[in-house]
Amino acid sequence: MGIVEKTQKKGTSKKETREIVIKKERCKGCNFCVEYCPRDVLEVSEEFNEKGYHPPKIVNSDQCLFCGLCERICPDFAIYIKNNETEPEKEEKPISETTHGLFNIVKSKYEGEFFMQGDIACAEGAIYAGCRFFGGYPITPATEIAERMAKRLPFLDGVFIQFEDEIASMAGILGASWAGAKSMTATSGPGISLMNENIGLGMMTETPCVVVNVQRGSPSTGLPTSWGQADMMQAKWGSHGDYGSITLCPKSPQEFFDLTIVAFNYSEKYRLPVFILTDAIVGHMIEKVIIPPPDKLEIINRKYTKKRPQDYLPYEAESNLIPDFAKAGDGYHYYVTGLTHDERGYPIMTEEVQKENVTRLVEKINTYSDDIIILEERDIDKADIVVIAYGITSRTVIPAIEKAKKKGIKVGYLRLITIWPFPEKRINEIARNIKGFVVVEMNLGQIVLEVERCAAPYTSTKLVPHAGGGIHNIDDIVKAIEELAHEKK
Amino acid sequence: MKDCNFKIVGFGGQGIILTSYVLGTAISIHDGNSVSMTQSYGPEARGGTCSSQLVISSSEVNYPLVEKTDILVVLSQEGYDKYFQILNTDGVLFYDLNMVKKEKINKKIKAFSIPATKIAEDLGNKLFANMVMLGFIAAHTDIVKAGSLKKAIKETVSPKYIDIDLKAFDLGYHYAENANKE
Repeated sequence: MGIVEKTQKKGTSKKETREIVIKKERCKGCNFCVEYCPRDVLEVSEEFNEKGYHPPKIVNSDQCLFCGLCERICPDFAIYIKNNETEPEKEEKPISETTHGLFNIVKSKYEGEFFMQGDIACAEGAIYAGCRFFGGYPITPATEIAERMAKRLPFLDGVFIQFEDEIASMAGILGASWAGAKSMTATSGPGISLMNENIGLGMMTETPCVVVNVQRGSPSTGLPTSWGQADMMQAKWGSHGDYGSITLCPKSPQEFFDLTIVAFNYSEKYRLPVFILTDAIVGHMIEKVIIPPPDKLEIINRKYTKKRPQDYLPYEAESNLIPDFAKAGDGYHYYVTGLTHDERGYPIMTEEVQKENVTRLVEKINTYSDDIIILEERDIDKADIVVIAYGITSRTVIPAIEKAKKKGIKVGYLRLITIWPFPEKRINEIARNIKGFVVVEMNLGQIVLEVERCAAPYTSTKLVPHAGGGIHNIDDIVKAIEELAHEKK
Repeated sequence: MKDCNFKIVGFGGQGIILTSYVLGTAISIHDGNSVSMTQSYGPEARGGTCSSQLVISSSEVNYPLVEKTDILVVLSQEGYDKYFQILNTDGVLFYDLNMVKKEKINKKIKAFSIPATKIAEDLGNKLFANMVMLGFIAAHTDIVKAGSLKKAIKETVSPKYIDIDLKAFDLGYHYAENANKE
């Protein structure tokens, strides 16, 4: 690294020391720092650097206020203020172990069994996974996630920012991720619509983060305090362009906790914004949630490059299709852009680079789809009819399946925990051996299109729709199962 | 314990959701049964109809919403008028004598009543009516153990209210016992 000239000064009240660092080899001798320093701390030195310029030197170190003007004015990043904070002894902040109200129970340590709301379980899952930055704008029914993070993160040295809107929130979490933090945001349909531009930026720049969508009745403002499942396609196709995407769909507060951790793992492993799509019922439902001890569940952290800065290219993917990260501030050169870029990260707008860049965004998810896809299957081997559902509807179909079974129909159950990438292979496999699929979803037909696509040559598919704001009638589902079972091929 | 649905209705500010949260905690964490709790309330902080429902089961809860309930607790007249039809024919109604008019209650319904708001006011504040009602319910049903409820109250409410809430709970519980003796 460069030659560093230091001056140290005791900070004010905190245990910290600050210093001016001069990277002499970067200096081009403009002398802006010397000119602009309000306290005349710097002077042009006699010395020559590698390029033949005279870098500045520190003469009046005791006059320095560490205002940072030199750092800001330097066009070559050759001078900056470095904070050497010596970690003060961490005291457990005095929070009463149980405070009033069901949503205000803030404990310093979370482990064990809790009667917990879905949204809160999601926030706890994020904290468990190591999320230390939350940027968002509150919206029913996702507000409680933001609320919980706002309460918890300050005690964990994390950062919570309520931005001016969802557009900024999404940009904020991308920035936090580039600075090395695991970051997330939570919103509902209208917020996702605003975030989509920057979600595309996250996809293009391959930035790990988690985006939670607690779906409400839609489109537009729709049913603010009620539920729906009509953002399924938006999660895949929301932002413009081709990109692989991952979407997980929990059915209960416990699973909301677990899948938030999985979402963080996927986002770090495959380098992209990962969606969690749930709905206002799961978000606001309160059930038992078990939070295991800190190292019980697998946590995947970011993979940093082992290369030297001069050998490193930020978007050079090895055969695994996923480029390694570099730590900001460790001397690696970076260029991050939403424009089509080559492995250096530089915008190159040619047909070849576009093909390579975008193909990899799609292929990196397709290649690993078997590892990403999580399904729950019951009685599929013996089934004539298979009911496909996800999220909260996967719970309402259970009584319907029981009812249909009592009527002598062989019914299987397939729950999509991963929605995107879509489990094409498995559905195609099942389709060969059954009479038909019944897809139950709280929209007017979204995932059913995917199922039809995979099942079409072999078997028929029937949709049981619901516009949202309520819950499926069990008898409607039973009727659909019966109709399909008695249909003549 | 038989699987059952529980619904509590009142207006915002009566502690409806806190009551079912305490009940849910007692059943799921301390008794070890499954509970799924959902709630609905208007945008008003106080005054709007507020309801909360629990689906209680000894196995996994699938269908989380309550269409017909086995136990209905009403703390306001409006709540009774709006929801009494959803009570199952063999269901049980609990109501607050001070808030719901006795003569308006359908005679066919099996009902238990307690002047919860009056008891709470005598204790110092009508806000404790929900805990009085909780004690009353605990004495009349087998959905939850009284000991578990007390534990849940201690864990949930603000420390400065624990003692008085437990007292309110006991008053409700003993009111039921005394009524039985008579």
